[in-house]
Amino acid sequence: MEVASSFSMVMAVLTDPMAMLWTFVGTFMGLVFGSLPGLTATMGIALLVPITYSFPTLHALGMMLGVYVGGIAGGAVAAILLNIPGTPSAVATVLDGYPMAQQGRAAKALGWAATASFFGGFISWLILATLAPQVAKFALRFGPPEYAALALFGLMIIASVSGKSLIKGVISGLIGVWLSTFGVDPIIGDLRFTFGNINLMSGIAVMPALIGFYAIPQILRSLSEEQTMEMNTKTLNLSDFIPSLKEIWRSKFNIVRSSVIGTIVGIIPATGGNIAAFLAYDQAKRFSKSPEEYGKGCPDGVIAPEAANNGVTGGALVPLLTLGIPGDSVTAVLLGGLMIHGLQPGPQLFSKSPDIIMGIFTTLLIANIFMWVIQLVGIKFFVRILRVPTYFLAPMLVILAVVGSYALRNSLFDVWLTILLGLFGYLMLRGGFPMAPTVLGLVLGPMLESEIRRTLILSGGDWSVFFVRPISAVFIGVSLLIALTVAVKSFKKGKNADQVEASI
Amino acid sequence: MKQRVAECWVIGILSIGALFFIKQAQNVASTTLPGGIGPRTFPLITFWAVLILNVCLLGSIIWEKVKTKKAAPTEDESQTKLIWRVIPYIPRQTLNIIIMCLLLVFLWRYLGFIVVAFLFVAGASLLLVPEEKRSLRRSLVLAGVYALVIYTLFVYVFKIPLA
Repeated sequence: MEVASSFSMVMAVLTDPMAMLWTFVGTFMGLVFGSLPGLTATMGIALLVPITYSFPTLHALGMMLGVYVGGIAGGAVAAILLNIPGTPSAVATVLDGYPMAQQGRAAKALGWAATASFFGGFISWLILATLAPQVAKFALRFGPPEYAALALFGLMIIASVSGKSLIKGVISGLIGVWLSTFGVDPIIGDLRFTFGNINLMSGIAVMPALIGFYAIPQILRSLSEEQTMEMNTKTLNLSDFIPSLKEIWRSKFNIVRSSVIGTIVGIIPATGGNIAAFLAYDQAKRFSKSPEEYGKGCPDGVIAPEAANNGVTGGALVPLLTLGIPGDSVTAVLLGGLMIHGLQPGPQLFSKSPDIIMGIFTTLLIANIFMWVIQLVGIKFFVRILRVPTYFLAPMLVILAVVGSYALRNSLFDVWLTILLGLFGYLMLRGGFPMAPTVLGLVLGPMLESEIRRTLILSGGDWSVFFVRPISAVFIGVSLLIALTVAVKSFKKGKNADQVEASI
Repeated sequence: MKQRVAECWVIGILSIGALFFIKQAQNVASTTLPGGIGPRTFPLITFWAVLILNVCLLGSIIWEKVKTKKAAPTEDESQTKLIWRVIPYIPRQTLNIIIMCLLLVFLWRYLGFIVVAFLFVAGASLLLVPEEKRSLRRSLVLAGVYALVIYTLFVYVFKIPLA
């Protein structure tokens, strides 16, 4: 009986043209939101949920899940074409996506981003559909020590994205952590570094800082003649942007590994696509036979973060549907949307409404397919952005950037922050300081501090708790290993440079 | 050379900032909880780390400079004007846009979004376009259309009010 009702729900989704239409509309809107810097999938769902009030449940689900999937994937468009991540989870995509665009391979980069996003979403969907209740138990094993260890592990990735100078990368990361200390203390609620300014009480939001450190410096740099973009003016054929089966097969390990990383990170509540993308990028680089190519236009450097950040979509739905716990900010808003339509996510949803669960699974798969198709079809139009002369594009992007930072809290203070951080970011860029570690620090700094303090409160000041819990111990062990490896490599590099100099 | 100057400025700003915030951290509550970590511990560690690393970076820059002291000046160094050896080099167009960005945000509150967006895009595109391609009408039309499109999209479609 249950199998029959589940199957009928799947058929209901597949044969209902309106359900397909609203899923398509939601996915398209999500891609738009994701590709515009300053707008996020969270915002998209929050804005579109009211529209779905009068919709049948299935249509509403399609729209919301479509926005979710599209919103995460859309960030790659601006990241690749403009060096400005559309969403925080696309920051890692910039590292290789933009160099590919500079080399005239923008269409290929976008094609890879779309394809990797699809595979990431599909693999996480597979894990969600087959193992959701079992995998949810893994999420429950994460407590404050595990979160602190995960944050520490995430911060070690700074070494991977620091470029030529590790010390500059660490300083950039510390700038991000520095900015994250503004506002209210996460444990006892005291104010820190607000200087009596009410706008600083909620701290420095990630989006204005992201736009400030990425968009503004990049726009200012494009005005000088230091940057050139190789324009590929010939008409694009399918093979120019759709990866071939052979290419996909060659990158199979990267795709699967990154998708699984994204799914696992998504399952852990209060993490997100940003962490998953950087973790996947770091692992892809470590496992690569030619890690020196990363950061210079390597397709694998686009595949890893995009597969991971869309892998988060299925993973984040695991704790949401099985436990009623949102996996990230987007699923938190999604939870509200589901409840508005009379659905109560949690353990009972699986047992009492298996047909609804099948409807959600089917809609999620369809949204992933639509996301892939829309992106591939749109590539020919997206790359035309590169043909707009800088003297028109740059002012337009500045307006978009300031509107994006204003949109979050309707605050001119955020806009001022964006501009001032942007000017400092420009100086950092001129000085050869990388930007990616700053975002990592801004996102992971609060998590590291609050979870360490929370752990110590719970353990009565006992630091050994980090090492006796297995998941935490593994993360800390791997972090120390990474730190040691990087230190040894830096030392050897310095020694070799001295030896070469001495021999000359 | 230009990168070195920008590096030194970043180090300088960060170091002064770190010292300032170390002092400010004394205003943060010193309540300690189990484990000895209170609200000011993490920020202080961060600020001191920034300061120490800045000193290390400055040290490495000076060391490199000393090592290459006897070498002939590079073409970049000899062609760089004296002023750009002290303050970071910013191309004139970039400087103009920076000033316009600051004006944009300052005037937004008084003139409203559409007007400042229009003025910014029109002004910036006129400044940036090479003289032989400059067209006042084209810049004004483009600026007007763009400001309206962005305003309509955000206010009426996304329901995000722009003051």
